[in-house]
Amino acid sequence: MDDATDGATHGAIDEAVDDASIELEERLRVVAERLDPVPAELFEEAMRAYALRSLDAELAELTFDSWDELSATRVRGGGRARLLTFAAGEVVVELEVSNGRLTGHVSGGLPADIVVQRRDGATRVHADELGRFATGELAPGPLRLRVSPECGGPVVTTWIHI
Amino acid sequence: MDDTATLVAAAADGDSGAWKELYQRFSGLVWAVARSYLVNAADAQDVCQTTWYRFAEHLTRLRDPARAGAWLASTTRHEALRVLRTSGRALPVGDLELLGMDADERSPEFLLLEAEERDERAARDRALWSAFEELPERCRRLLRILIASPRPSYQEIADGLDMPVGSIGPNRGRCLKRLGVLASRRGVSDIRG
Repeated sequence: MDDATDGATHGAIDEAVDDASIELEERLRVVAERLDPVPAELFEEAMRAYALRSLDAELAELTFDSWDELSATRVRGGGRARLLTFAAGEVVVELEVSNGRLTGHVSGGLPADIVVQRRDGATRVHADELGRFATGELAPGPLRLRVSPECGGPVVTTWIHI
Repeated sequence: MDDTATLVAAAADGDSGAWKELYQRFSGLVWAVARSYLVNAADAQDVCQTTWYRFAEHLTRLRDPARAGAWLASTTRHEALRVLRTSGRALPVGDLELLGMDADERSPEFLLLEAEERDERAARDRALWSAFEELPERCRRLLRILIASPRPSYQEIADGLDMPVGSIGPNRGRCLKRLGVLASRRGVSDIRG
């Protein structure tokens, strides 16, 4: 069913589509493009995202985000930390984001070089012999970690926004 | 026009022209999904940014590259809901009364339009947009994604809303009918541009 309605075949199968509704929809589309257009900056961001995609490292997907556990009506309490888990095979990265600072742990408790990648630069930190690491305060924006353990290939986490 | 799967494969292979074309094809959808959940434009922009970074990272990893649009819609929705849950600006999902109120917020779009009040067409646009903002939340969300440019597929709209694809068509019809009634109350008799 999904496949049948994918792509350009939509609309024609819907009995509620008539000339008046198509005209109203088109009119509203034109108004939306005038009043609520896609911000021009997003094109630059998308190009940067493309340039920054990593080709050599394994991707660690987000497997837990404490923000997903909050109820829909709860409003952020002051300074509440966000907990995230990323996993790529054996490598698990746990991260706490609190007031723009990252504190984390790489599974296995092995030393690792960690690069905090931002859209316009990178910060290096080192995970100690227990796999723990921390950063100073970071500006808001997209971020990912590139983790190079002492043994094994590099892993990058998926992007998050802090 | 190349199909989406071909563009995804080319972009994954390093063809930045293909990436640009994917952006042209889906940036309207991504923005519309973010806006359908987030009244605050800066929040919506952050969400779109994250979505494009994730998409670049997943070019070689999509299970079904032909459905990249649906992947983008669903990723944007998840990210928007995260922001909605944690932002101080969050509105309870499904609260129609509260959402009715932001039609009165003087957004930059409205201020811009006021400057053009003498322009008859701008006034008509404004009336239609006000009618749109008066719609119940469910309708507003659905229509906001539907009117992305270029027009998304029903599958993409369904993934942006986490609704069954079969419900999109009937809801589209109902919501546009409601919009027509609200618009005519505001004196938008001629909806033609």
